[in-house]
Amino acid sequence: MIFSSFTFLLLFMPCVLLLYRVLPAGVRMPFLLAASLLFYGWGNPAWLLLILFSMVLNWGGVLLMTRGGKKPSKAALAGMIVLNLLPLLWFKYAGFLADTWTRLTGIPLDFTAPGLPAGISFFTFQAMSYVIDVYRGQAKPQKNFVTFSVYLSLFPQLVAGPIVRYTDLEAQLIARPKPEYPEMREGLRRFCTGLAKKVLLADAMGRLWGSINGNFAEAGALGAWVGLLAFSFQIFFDFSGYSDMAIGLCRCMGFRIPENFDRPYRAQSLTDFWRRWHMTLTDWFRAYVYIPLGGSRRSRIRRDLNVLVVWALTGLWHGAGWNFVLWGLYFALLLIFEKRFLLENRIWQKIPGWIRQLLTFLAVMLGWGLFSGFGSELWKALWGGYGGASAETVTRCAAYVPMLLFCAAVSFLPAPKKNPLRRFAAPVLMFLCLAALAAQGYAPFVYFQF
Amino acid sequence: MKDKRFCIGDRAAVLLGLCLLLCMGLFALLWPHPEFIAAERRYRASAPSAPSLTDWKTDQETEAFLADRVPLRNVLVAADSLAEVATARRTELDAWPVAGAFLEKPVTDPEGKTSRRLQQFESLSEKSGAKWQLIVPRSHGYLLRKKMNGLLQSLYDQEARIYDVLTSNARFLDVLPDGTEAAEVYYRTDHHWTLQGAWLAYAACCRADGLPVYSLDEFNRSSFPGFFGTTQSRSGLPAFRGDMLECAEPKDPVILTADGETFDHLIFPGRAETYDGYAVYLDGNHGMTEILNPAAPGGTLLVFKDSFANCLLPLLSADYRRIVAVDARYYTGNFSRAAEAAGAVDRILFVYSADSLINDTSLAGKVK
Repeated sequence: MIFSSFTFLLLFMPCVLLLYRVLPAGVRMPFLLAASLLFYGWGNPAWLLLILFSMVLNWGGVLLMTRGGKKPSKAALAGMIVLNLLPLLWFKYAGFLADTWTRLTGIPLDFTAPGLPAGISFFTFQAMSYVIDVYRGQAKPQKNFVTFSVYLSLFPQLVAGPIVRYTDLEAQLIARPKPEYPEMREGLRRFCTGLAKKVLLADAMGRLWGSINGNFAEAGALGAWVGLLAFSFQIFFDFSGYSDMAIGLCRCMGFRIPENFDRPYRAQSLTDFWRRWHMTLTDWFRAYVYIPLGGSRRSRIRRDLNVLVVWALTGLWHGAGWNFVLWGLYFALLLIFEKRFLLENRIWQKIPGWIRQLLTFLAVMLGWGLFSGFGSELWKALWGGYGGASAETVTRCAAYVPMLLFCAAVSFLPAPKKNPLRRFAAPVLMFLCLAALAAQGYAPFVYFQF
Repeated sequence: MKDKRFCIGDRAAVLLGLCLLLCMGLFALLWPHPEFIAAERRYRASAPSAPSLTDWKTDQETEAFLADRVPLRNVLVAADSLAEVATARRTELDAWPVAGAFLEKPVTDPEGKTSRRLQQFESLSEKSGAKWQLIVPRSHGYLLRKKMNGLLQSLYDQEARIYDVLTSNARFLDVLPDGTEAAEVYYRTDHHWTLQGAWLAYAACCRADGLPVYSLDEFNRSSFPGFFGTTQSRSGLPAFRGDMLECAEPKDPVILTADGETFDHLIFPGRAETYDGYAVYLDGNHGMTEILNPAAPGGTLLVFKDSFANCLLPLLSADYRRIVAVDARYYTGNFSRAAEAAGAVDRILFVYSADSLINDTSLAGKVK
């Protein structure tokens, strides 16, 4: 099920939130688990087996690892991580590996890649964080299967994050909070803001990008740049919109989960950008990969190597394709260069802030070009290889200028300190989103594929 | 005390908001809705089929079912279209508002299909040995383009090339030349021409064939207010003022045969009340239509057409004793078979909108 659907907005969400509010504390967790499984299985019931496997594996595995109160062994931890990664490898990377094998050796493999279950990367990473935190002694094993399963499958953030570490949610899961109305109202406001980002902004930008990508010869340089700008806004509003909705829905049920975005396109360096973009993923890789590898405490070369490893993995996490690996390495190299030659020497700080912001956004935008996977055709168009834009492209781009300016204003300008329209914003945004959904139909989130 | 007041406000807001959404969902799910959505001229999505684990479509089918039954659907769609207009994206709508009218997108012909169609019409006519002519009226948007302050200018420049190709062909009857007052020859809410537009085509056609041209006063006239046509529907925008649908048919007795059914009139007033008001002409679209008027001075006319000719044929029937009209979208055979079925004809007329001429796949497939 997706948030931006009538099924969710008109049936699932009001039913679940109203019932969750009135149910006694003892029933809330089983109810939330049932609702989360319905939410997940609605898209494809077969995927339920996968998440149930992950629940049983991690709940039971950790209890076995820590049986008798002993410290878990490294071998047990390694085994649990491998078992967690196996489904991810099979569903997400088997096709990619087979394709790479065929390309390298020329020997075709008789293999059809399985479909990618929604949110597999998100819940796998959450499960691994639980196992590692218990191993490190930072979290206690959860004996209650329902409570643990709710952590793994909490429907607001199940399929597209934020990636919540078990330690962030442990106390709240045990407390089984009863949501208060002011909290619920704030949560619904946040949800409507996120929904509007997705339906009104991201989908509009997606339509512009969709009309340009794959037809770069006609789009020309103008179309390619405008299209890439639209894609940059699409991916931001899509993903941050989803995070807003997840945070808002959790708040409606009395849970506080970490923020995932902090106006990333206002960043004035790439290091700053990655502190603001998909913060929970960055945090996950820092805590479970970068720091265990030595982080920045080792030599400069080792530190740079760690950065390369982390970013190659970040790229791979986003998708099974060489374009994603390339995208990760692109950021790794830029971050190493930025740290060594611009930040450490304080050269970067001497440049006016708006130029730093512009250059950072340009680097990020070109990164999205790699991310999009359109390869050489896009780059040829960007550098003018296909000449000017067709009349249709110019007309379409012109029609989207006000929307692009609005997206730019929301992305680049600081948030207003006081918004007098805030009281009325949520119902108006909800109405506009329902209107857009009625007119447009079905539009899944970009980040579901990760 | 203040906190308490706020708390009550929050409770009311949350409960009202969630209950309202739930009521909308339950209404969509449980209320019996008519199967046909008149405003969108289509049937609603059917109820989800029995779930199948091997071919799971329940989520998408449920979504389509709810989307088609959401309360105030017309208002929501109109609000979305208005939002597109308000953010300067009116040209992104399927049909968009300009100068009080709703227009379709400009027609372009990057693959040079216009010339191909002309050749196909020529070779088809050669087989039957009859002289042929072609009517492709300049589109509503094209006639209005100078009032658009350069909007879509480059696309209209491309549409102009279609008319350039057509006017260079001697068979083309230029019935709505550039500069024709669009408001007189086109409906505001529909893509078809008005009775006046059709009369201009009728007059050009009869003059080319040496037949008398009757003024509109010499026909039986009827009119039907409150006509909301296809372009308004496709825009999704609200329209508060409909068009006046005007019709004319010969005063002489005529016999209309449409797909095997026979009538003694060409105008069907009952259809004006339906969602497809334009079907007052000839009872709408049919694969093959025959009109007989024994009192007419002309011979037999074979017309290959789209719906533009529905308004024109009643006028032409005043001059031709027998008209056989073939609509590729509904006729099952190809045009050669249709020409054989029509028997001996004196003249062939092709009547298409520029959009049909270039983009209609049924025409492209059957013109042989």
